[in-house]
Amino acid sequence: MKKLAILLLAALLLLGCGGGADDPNAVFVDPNAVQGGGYGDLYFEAEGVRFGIFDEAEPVLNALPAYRSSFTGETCAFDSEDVYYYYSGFQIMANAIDGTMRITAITVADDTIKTPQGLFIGMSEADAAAAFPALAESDWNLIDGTALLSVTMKDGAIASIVYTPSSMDA
Amino acid sequence: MLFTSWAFLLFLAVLVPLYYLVPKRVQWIVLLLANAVFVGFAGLTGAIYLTATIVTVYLATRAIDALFRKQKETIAAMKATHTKEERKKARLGFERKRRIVLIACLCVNVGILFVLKYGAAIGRLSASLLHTPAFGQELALTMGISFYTFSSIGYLLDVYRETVETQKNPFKLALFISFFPLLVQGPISRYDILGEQLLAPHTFSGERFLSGALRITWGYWKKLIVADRLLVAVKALCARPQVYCGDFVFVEMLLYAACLYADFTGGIDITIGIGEWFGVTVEENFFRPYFSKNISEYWRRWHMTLGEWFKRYVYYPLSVSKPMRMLSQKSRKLGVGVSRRLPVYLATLLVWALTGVWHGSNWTFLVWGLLNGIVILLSEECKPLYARFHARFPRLTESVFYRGFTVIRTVLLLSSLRLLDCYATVKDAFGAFFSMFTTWNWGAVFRGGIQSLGLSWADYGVALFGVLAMFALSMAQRKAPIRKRIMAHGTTASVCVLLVLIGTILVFGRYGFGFDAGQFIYNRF
Amino acid sequence: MKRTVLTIGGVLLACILLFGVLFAVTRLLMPKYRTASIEGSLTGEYYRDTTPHDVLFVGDCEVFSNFSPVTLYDAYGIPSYIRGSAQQLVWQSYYLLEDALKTETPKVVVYNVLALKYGEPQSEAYNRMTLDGMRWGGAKIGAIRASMTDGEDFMSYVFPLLRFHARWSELKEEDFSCWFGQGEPVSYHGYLLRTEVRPATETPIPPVLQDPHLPKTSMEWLAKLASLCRDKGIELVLIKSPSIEPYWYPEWDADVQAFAQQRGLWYVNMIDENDSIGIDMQTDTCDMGQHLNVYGAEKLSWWFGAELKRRYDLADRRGDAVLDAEYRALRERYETEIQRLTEGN
Repeated sequence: MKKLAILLLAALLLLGCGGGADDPNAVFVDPNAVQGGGYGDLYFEAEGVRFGIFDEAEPVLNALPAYRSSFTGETCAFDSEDVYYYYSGFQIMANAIDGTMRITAITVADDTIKTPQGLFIGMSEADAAAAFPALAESDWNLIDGTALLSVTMKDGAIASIVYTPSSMDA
Repeated sequence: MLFTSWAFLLFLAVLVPLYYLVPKRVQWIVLLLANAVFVGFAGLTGAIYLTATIVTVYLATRAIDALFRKQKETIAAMKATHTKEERKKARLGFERKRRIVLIACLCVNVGILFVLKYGAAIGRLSASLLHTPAFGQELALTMGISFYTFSSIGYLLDVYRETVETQKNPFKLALFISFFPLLVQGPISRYDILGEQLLAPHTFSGERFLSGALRITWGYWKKLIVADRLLVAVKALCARPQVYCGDFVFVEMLLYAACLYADFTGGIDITIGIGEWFGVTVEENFFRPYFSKNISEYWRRWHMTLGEWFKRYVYYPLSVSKPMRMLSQKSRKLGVGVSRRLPVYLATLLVWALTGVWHGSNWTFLVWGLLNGIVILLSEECKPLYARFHARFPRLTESVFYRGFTVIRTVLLLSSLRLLDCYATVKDAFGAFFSMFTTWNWGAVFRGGIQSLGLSWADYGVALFGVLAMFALSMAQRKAPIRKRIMAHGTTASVCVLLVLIGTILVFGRYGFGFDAGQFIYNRF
Repeated sequence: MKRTVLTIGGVLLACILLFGVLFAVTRLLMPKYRTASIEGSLTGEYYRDTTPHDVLFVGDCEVFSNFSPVTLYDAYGIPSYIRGSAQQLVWQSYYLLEDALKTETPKVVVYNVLALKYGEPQSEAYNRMTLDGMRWGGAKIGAIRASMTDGEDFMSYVFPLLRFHARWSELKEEDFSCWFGQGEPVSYHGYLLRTEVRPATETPIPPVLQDPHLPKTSMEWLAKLASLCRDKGIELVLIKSPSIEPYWYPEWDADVQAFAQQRGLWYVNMIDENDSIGIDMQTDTCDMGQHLNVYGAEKLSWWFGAELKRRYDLADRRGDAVLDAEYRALRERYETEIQRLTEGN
């Protein structure tokens, strides 16, 4: 029986080899690598450019008008850096993830910007709940794929709107 | 309390001196209390189930014993006054009562194990069929239940068959059932082997202590340097069958073979070594299994106590049971070969199905068990073919090359079957297996693939060294037990070996912050 | 009998050998913090200075980056030391001070309040950098017990090999060159010197505070710190150093002010004093306002030294032969390093 099994395995192996399978020179693409575009409906949009959490920073920065200024926040004693880019009405934070700078936070700076989800700083809690019921139902912290949209209420109105990764594993 | 925790090492450090400092007549009580502490650390629920098993098995065996004695007295009294027929009737009456007690006790203990092991899975299955909320999702196995339940049932059946003396002291029985080193991952021990040893007084022996220490340390060495290291890669490979397919599966087979061996044999080494510290010789559970030339032989050398248990308490009784005998008789018209084989084959498949489900409630385990049974039966069928082959090519089949081929073939075959143990579903396991023959991606394996599994090249290097060390030790063991050979060189040499093992574990082991030196794989069964 | 003695001797010798080897291996595998994460060297370097200190700074990066003990001595004759390390939590500052007070009694202790925002242990890596260098004693035990995060265990502080054993695959040249020796100090009485100039621009938008107050645990440790100083007759000064990032909320400032007022302590938020200090965040910061460079640190030390002298009547210790010798050597090393770095820049 074992010989039959071996013959069968050998036949399958030959079938596999003869079947013109994959390129043996192929390089493995890490499935755990962080990738952009996984934020579902929790994207941000400015100047006609749509982007979100874990998108590569460079193409987004190139598509947007030039940023007003930037800031590099160093982590004490370690090499990691948070890089902030300031635009009119919002701020983007980027970090190096597996060697690529990716967007890791988008913060609405003032009431001049309305998010694609229809939210803005100063919007009343009732209006925000009507504009985005799912967000209100999730206690103002909604996850969609890789993104977390957090809205802080103060005195019955939106005080802050921040998009961050839904999981900090990256 | 994990074997790999500081708490456990401290527990041992207190227990061993205490065991030898107390008067010999109370040593077994110290051990019993230690069992209680060990079980207590695992939680109250586990302690309740364990107590239930001890109590029910004790009561049942005492009742069976009492019925035996009463039967003998009654039959003896009836000898002069009653006919043979009347005496037979009385005997059958006692036998029936004993069987009722036995079955009741079996139902309680197998029932507990069944509910804990399969309750959640049955809940999910019924929920998916009936579209209702899943019940029993909070049910989970408690520490050692699969192992101590089987040991207890073994004792119960031995008492029922009158092959062991009934233990009249419930605490002494509790000591056997709850002996803490065996609760983690066996071996499944027998009362006739362990019972008296646990109760016997023991004098401290430096030589035995050192020998035990060597065995324990070697167990930790395998667990922390090889098993826990390779498990990281195995887990990563199993988690994404769609990504890690093709030649990755072959890598996974080999890594898992090494990982499981190091993990399970490492745990058993620790158990046996701890047993030695208390003067108790625990049964061996392995006999160089990866040197087997076929699957049947492998199963006689891997997890030997489980195989022995099934053979002794399920396979043999089932093969000679009344329904099997009837089946054999009825199938005679199909030919002598069929009537001879049918009961054996049925019993074999049933035992393998049970072995499969003992390992877990997933369908993968049932399929794994049945496939093992089928391979073994097909091998039996092909025996004449092999015999002819061996007779035709005697020089080839007696060569080292051929023997090596059979060993490698067996390892590959059992590793293929073990894929069912790695993946969450049967579909994933079969998909992964067949992808080896349809996807040729060695390039991806070595260009980034291996490194993506959570281990560095240095880690693979250490693991490879560990595997080679295990292999070399197994080879050396063929001549004589390695510990005896080390001990023969004197205490200083033995201590030096021990210290080298400890030193290498401390540096190369996977433990501490950032590492998950976790539970033994077999503990989940 | 002879054989037993020989056996026991052999076993003892083997054990001693093992402990020797393990000691050597531990020394080799422990991070040296000399070329990367050099902040990890700071705690241990304190014990190398045997001169007395009139002022002891405790706190996080906002003390070890922003004050220059060389300037304080040169300008005012104030001998000082900075017991700070990266993300040094308030209870760690408490225990580091307790540890220091076993061997000296400064006149003034200066505590930077930024780390009060952390009410719970934060990071194992920072814990190790702060605690591994401490000398053993009640203070270290207390600091470890208060700081451990999930997954850490006390034993790994007692036997650091249990924590760092996996470093064998990432050993660097410094691990061998400083295997048993300490090498040159990386700091100047606890000060980490940087000469780069990276002007401040905008700072990130601070998140809206869920709880406007500093954590209760932090304030309790601050109270302990104040009591420790009071019991030893030491003046405690609370400062918020002039770094503009991370953001220091007015609500937190009010909490510290109230605390200081209640205990009669001097609290100064130096962000408000930047003009009088003369700090220019275009030239005096090495990382856009998070830490001062040496030019900023010297300006701040000039200003703060004068304030300390005025408020606490600190003696001018210049002329003390031992201190003069110590600070002369320190200054030489300090100036050489500034020259080396500026040439590098």
